[in-house]
Amino acid sequence: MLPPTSPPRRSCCAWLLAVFLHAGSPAQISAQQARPAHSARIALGPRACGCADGRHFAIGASVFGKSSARVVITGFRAGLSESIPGSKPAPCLDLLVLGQVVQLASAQDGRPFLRRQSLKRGIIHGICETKIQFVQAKRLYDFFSDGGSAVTLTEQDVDAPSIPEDSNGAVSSGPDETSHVGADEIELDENLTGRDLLQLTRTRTKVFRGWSPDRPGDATFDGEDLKEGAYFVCRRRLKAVLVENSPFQRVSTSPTTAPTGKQEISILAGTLGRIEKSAGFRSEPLWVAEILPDSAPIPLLRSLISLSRELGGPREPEPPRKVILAASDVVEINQFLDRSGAEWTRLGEVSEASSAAEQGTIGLPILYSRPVLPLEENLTTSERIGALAAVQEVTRGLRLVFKNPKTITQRRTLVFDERAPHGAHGDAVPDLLRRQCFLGMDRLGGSQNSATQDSTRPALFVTGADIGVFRPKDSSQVPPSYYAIDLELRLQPNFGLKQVPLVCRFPLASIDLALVDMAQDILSTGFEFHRETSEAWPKH
Amino acid sequence: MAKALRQFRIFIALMLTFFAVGRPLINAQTLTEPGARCTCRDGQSLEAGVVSYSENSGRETITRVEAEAGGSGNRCRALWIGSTEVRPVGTPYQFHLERTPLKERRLDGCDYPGERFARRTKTYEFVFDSNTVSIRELRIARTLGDNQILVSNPQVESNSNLWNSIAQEATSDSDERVKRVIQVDSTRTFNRRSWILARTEIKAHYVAVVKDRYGVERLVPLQRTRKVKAGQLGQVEAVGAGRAIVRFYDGGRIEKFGKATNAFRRWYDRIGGPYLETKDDLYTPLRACILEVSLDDIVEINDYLDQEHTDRT
Repeated sequence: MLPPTSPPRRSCCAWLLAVFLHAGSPAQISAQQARPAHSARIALGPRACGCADGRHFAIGASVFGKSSARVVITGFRAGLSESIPGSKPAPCLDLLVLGQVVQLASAQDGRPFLRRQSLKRGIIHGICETKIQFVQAKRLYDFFSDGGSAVTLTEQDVDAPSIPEDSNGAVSSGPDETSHVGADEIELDENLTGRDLLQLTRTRTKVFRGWSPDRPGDATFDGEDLKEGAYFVCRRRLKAVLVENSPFQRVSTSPTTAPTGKQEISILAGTLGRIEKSAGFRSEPLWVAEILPDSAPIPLLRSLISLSRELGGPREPEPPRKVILAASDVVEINQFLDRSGAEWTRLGEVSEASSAAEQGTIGLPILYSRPVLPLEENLTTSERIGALAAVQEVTRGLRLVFKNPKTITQRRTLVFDERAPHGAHGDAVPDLLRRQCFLGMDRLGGSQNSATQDSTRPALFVTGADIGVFRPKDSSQVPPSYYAIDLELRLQPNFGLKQVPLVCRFPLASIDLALVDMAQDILSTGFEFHRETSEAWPKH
Repeated sequence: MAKALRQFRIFIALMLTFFAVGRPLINAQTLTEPGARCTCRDGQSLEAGVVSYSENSGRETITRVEAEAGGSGNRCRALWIGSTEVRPVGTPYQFHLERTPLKERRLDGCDYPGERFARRTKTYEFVFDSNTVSIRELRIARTLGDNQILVSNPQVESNSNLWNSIAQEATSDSDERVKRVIQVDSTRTFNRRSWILARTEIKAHYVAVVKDRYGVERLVPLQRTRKVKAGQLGQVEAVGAGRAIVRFYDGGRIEKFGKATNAFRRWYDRIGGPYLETKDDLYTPLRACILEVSLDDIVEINDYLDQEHTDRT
């Protein structure tokens, strides 16, 4: 490496790399994506698998634990033999899952925000033998469709409090609680003599009362996302009945008093909170929840006012407030983060983008290189998924029609390569590191029957399939760990009596149905592929 | 008589000298022609001409083998290993590569990891049913993952212990896989950081990293393309099946292919230009682009220099 010839400007470089690595959202990227090579046969795989007892496991299904911890299905391993297109859903073998927790964090300016972290990524083996159940999301939030009303309140919204005045017992106890809240309030200019300053500081740091980091492993996971301890975000600006205030509340939100005497506060759209307990049911579930007033984005006018206040010194963060909210007023935080495609609720924080920029492109080989399985692991996996049976099933009835009929006159081993034009006419050179197919036309000898003399196009019928492992002996060309997977097809020509072997060799490939797709890609330069009906299937 | 006796003593001395020195000289032979083989005690066979690649297109070559003729073929007596390293010379915007040969070493016996070496050519003679075993006939050994399944009883797993039921095994970003992917495969021509040049003018796609909703990243080619001129130097970022992600450097076009244009920019580049230091382990991200190309469109720098019989681009 050369020494720098001018002072380094790392931040600029990091920004450039960040722009490169994260140029746009996934949606933008997908719009720009080029059609990948060999994409003709690439199709989206099944999104769900099932068990014999009727349970279904779909990608994206989640179950929720304490404090919005969740386990979400990100993929699955299914048996291949029963996953042929047109048949019933694939049987589940293992589930690929992601365990996530949501944590409360504080920005540099003291404002709280929520951050989701993936703590556990792994596999649940033999899911059909377990009693684990995942459920599809019951409710579909449409957070952004309400975006307009979330920002601009209508007169109706302002006039009508979201909680009916005589909702239930929990609410009716509100005025009693709020009536003595005022006694606990401490103004900033109050004389603090005799009070424990450390305790005061701790109270401010510990945002939610009674909050403690939960261990997700201790909890039962179920399909309910909105439940006690769950984090949420308020969908729209609303007024809510105040249940109780923190002992150190500074009256800055100008609570109003409803005609019934219940104290109400305005809650901004985007305010974060945590459900404390149920408050009954009135046409929908009601929750007693603690909200964090500082977590919401401040409207422009209010931010200008607060700016002038902050000139006088640092501002005290507002304490959490306990209110009653209806289920329709809030969105569980995981739903919100999923919809917004982010893992934190606050922009401008240290993000994964900056850390990716620091890493440079070191991670590219992990993303790009094929995972090379050790042979034993490859064999074990193929046996579990029933790869051989699946390959035999999908190749049965295949007919390979020669694109160039003159090819059948050749009596040699034709070598087709993955990369045309080298392998377009069967003239490629065998190479240990390339995906190639070998067709033994020399096995035909001089035999030729009447099939070629009529109008029938010369073709080869698949009569059998096998998968083998190729390991060269005493080869000084490849490392000892090298192996290749052979897809072996026995072919019966309609222009000859003897069978023709076909071997497609894939270095360090996984043993699965993709072998058939890759073979078709390689052979497509010389053959058309058709599937025979049972009547046309040759009897040999 | 005395004269004859002296001649006889000289003859005896010469004979003794011959037996002491000459016999090993006759039995030990230095084999330099490519393909000359010798065998180690563990049965491993080594031959002159095999190579081992390291970072930044560094290369070791077994230049010759010293072998002792034995009953079971040539036994390796010593290996001679020649090494070269490749370095960029100049500024990131105007540079060339120089290959520097290091001092040749002689290693006694097979005191060297011979499995790191491989022949450069990968072509072979294909024979049906040769060295191939059907997976039905292979005895399948249980892997560690399956053992874990046997140890844990799936029937006791339910939603109450769901979190603890997740087995954290080899995922895409596990340490073992990262190590396996990033480490240099010394038998392979193309590795991360290998220096290459474009064989001909190619049109290649930019790439981008996308992350799905569960945080799994993948690399995708974009529609946007860029022309890479013949002779443009680059470094391999990642190697896939038949394709590679390459960082091409604008400033590294082999002079034979390029021509002097834009004198002001050349002057600016020569005095340093806007050079940035990064933590990255490649040359520089400036005036560079990362593209996906076919392995058929690029040439490893050692192959090019060997072909041109030179040590600089």
